[in-house]
Amino acid sequence: MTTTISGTTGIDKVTPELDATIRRGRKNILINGAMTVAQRGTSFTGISTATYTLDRVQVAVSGTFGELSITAEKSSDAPDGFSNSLKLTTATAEASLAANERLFLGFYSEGQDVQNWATGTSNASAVTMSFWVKSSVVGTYALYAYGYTGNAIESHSITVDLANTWEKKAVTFSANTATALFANNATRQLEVGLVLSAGSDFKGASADTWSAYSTTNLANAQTTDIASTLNATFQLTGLQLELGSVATDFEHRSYAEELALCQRYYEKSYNQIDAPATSSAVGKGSASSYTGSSSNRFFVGTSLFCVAKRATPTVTIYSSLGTANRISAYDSSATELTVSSISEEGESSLGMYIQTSSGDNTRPYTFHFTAEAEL
Amino acid sequence: MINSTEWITSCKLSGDGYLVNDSKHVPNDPANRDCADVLAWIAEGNTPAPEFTDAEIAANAQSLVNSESLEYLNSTDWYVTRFTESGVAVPADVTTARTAARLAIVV
Repeated sequence: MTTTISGTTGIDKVTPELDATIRRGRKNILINGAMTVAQRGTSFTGISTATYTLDRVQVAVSGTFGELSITAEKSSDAPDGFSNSLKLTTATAEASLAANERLFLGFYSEGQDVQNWATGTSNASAVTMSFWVKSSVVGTYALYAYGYTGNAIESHSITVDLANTWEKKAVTFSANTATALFANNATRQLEVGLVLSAGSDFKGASADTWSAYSTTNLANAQTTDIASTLNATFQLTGLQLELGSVATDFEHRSYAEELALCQRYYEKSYNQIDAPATSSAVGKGSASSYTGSSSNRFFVGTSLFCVAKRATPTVTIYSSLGTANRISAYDSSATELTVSSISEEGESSLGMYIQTSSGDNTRPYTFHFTAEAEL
Repeated sequence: MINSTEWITSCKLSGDGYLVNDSKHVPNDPANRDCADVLAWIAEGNTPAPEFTDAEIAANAQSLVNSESLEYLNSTDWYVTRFTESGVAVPADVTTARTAARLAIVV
C-alpha cells in the first residue's frame, strides 16, 4: 500500500523505502522462514525424492535421479539474529545431471493467503523475497514464483558470491496486473522454488517478467549444480516473502506462533523434541473398545487437533514402541493391534474409528499419531 | 503441481480412503496431496488391493489372542517353577487358565 499526503508542504509521495518502514506487523507470507520448527525431525538422510524436512520446507525433485542422496538437517549455524538454518549436504552426488532432472527447495502457499497480491487487477502489487544463504558452491541460482491458476511464472537469478559465507539476497517479483494467478481457496496456488540444480529441459527461455509457464523458463539463469557436487553444502534461513518492492527486516514470530502456523499442515502427538516413530509413552491418544459391536472389530478413539487442518489429513498411527499402524495395550506396550482403517476423521479431529481385530473389548489401547495436510 | 507416485509401494482400500505403504491412512479427499498422488497412481493403471477381509481381520485377532495368551503364560510361569523346585502345588484356577491359554494359541 502506498500512502499519499497532499498539500503544498506535505509529502507528495511516499518512497518505497518509507513505505517499507510504514509496513510493519504481519507481513511474511512464508511460514517457518527462520527454520525453527522441525516436527518431523531435525535430520533427514537419503533424500532422493520429494521430501518435507523442516516444517513447510520441501526438498523437491523432478525427474528420476539415479545416484543422488541428500542429507538435510536443522543447523544451529545461522547469521546474527537467527538461531537456525536448513542445511543440505550432497552425500552422494548425481554422476551426470540428466536434461529432465531438477533439484529445488519448494515453498508453497494456499490461494486464500495470497489474495492480497491482487494479481490480475490494476492494484496488483510487486512482491519481494529475501533470505540468508550460505553455500559451498558459488555462482548463479534461479528463484521463481509460479501461480497455478494463472499458469504464469516469473524467474530471476541470485548469485552466491562467496563460498561458505552468509549473504543476504533479495529478489522482487513484478506486479502482475494482467493475470489472476491464484484461485481463492485452500489448495496449493503459489509455488516459490529456489533451484539448486537444473537439467537443460528447465533452461532456454527467459521469464524475468510474468510469462506463461513452461518447463523451459523455470531456471534459465541456473549455472550452479548442487546435486552433482559431492559434499556440496547449501544453507538457508530468514526467508521472507512480502508485498512491495523492498526487502524489509525479517518478521520474527514467537516459536508458539510459528508452530501453530505449521500445525495447519502437519501435527503430531509426540513432544516436539521426539520425532515420529520413536518409542514414547508421552502424549498419546487413547482408544477404547466399542462394546456395542457384535464383531469385536471396532475401537473408538478421538483426538482433537491443536490446529484445524487445511484439508482432511493423512493420518499415520504409531504404537508406544513406534511401530507404524499399530496401537498398544495401555498396560502392556508389547501387546499391539494392527489398524485396518480409520474413518470419520476431519480437519479438526482425528475422530478416529479404528477398525481393527480384537476379541478383547475390556482393554483400552493407546496410540501416537501424525496428521499431514501439506500442500 | 507434479503428482509423485514413486513413494507408493502398496495401496489398499481402507474405510472411506486408502491405506498406503501399510502405514499412511489417506482420506478420499482430492484436496489432500497424498490422495491426489493415489488417484494419479490409479490413473497409471494400478488397482488398490481390497479392504481387509473378515479372514484377515480374524487372523489379526488370532495374533492378538496369541500374544495375550503368551503374556499370561509368561506371567504365571513362576507357579510352575515353584512347584518344580519346592513341591508347592499350582493353584487349580491358574492351571485351568494356563490350559485355556495354551489351547487359545494358534500358530
